[in-house]
Amino acid sequence: MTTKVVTQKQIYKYFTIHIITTIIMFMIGIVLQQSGYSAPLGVLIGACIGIVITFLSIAFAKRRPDAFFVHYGADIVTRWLHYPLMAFIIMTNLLLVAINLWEIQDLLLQFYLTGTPSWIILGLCGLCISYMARYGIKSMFRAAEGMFYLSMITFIIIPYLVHSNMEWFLARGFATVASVKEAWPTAYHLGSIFGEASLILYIYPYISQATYTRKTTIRFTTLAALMVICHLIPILIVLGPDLAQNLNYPELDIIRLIKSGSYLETLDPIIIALWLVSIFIKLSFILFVISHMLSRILKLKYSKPLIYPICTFIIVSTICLAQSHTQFFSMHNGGVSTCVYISQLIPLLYYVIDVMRKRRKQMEEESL
Amino acid sequence: MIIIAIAYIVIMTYEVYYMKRRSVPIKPYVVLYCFMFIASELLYFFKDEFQLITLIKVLFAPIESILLFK
Repeated sequence: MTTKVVTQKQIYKYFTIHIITTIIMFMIGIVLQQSGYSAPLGVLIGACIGIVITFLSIAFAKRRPDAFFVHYGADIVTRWLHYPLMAFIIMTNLLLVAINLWEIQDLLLQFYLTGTPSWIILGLCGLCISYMARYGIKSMFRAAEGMFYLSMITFIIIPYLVHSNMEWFLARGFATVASVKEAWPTAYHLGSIFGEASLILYIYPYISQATYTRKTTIRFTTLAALMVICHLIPILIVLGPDLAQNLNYPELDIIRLIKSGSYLETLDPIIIALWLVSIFIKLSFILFVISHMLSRILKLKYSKPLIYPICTFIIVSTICLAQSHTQFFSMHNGGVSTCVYISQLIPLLYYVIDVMRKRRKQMEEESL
Repeated sequence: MIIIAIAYIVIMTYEVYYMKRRSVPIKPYVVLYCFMFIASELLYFFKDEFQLITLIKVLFAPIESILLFK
């Protein structure tokens, strides 16, 4: 039997960091490009989509709380269908890590490590991620527990520190311009990120007090959505939608507007360091899930020896992912979210088949 | 390509040493490492002709454009 090593508090803290870091660091520019003033509404709708996806995964996981999905999935649908579907989920998770790594190296190359070969940055990031993933599931959730308060302080303090630069007349746009139609692209893209919490399904046997997971999901999704909105609104009011949507990293630009004291003006390297650690925690968790799934599919006893080779493969994939910034950002409108949604909704297919089979079995027993 | 090969050799040596110490059967892991190594080299060799982005766009962009009412 698997030991229950992950507590509900750890899940709450980990997934809050998991969702917030990606959206605030990398998605804000794209979100503003697509929705402008309607972006906060899109975040709320996206959070609702994420909750629904996660709830479906949890409902499915609850049917066999002590077994791993990768194992019992083959009993629900046939092996011939189960293994290709698992391969698709693994590939999508590999893609997610590759995309995030590409974004990290792009950010570091643009602002802090100009002129450094990208493979060196990727190699170092990969080493950190795989090192943490190798230590097992406990390490990531403990790291998230430790980082949570520090990250939260920086995420809360930024909107407060830029309040002197706010152009309040721009706030009228939230009441006059915002619409659900405009918000839908943001909701669609962010829904896939909020839905990443459905990865809970793959670690469900490790979770203690698993009956409270739904409540925890609502709590961390709400907090993450609020934090994202708390950053989106100041960016819109400080920079305006037209300027913000043309910046790759608007969050970094508002940090540079902080004028609260000489040492706070150079706050961005500290914040970047905290963000990087948070993203490393997220990526190491996904890497752990991938290695865990792969080892169980291939019926290997240990998943640890797979982590470094998988990480190397991801780094090579990241190098081959895109050649330019423009090409990379065109991908965000080119199907990545759909690919992620499909991988998140695959367990739903299993759930439906499982329910139907159980009912049929019950009916057969009753007829006998 | 040489750097990828060196990275894989270092990792394989480390992992084989790790598994021997814990008396884990090495063969299935080594086969998997070789497969990953070949996949990585192929991916890197054809990086100009074939890009992951293009593949994703071809497969999923049509579905996404329908869902986003484009």
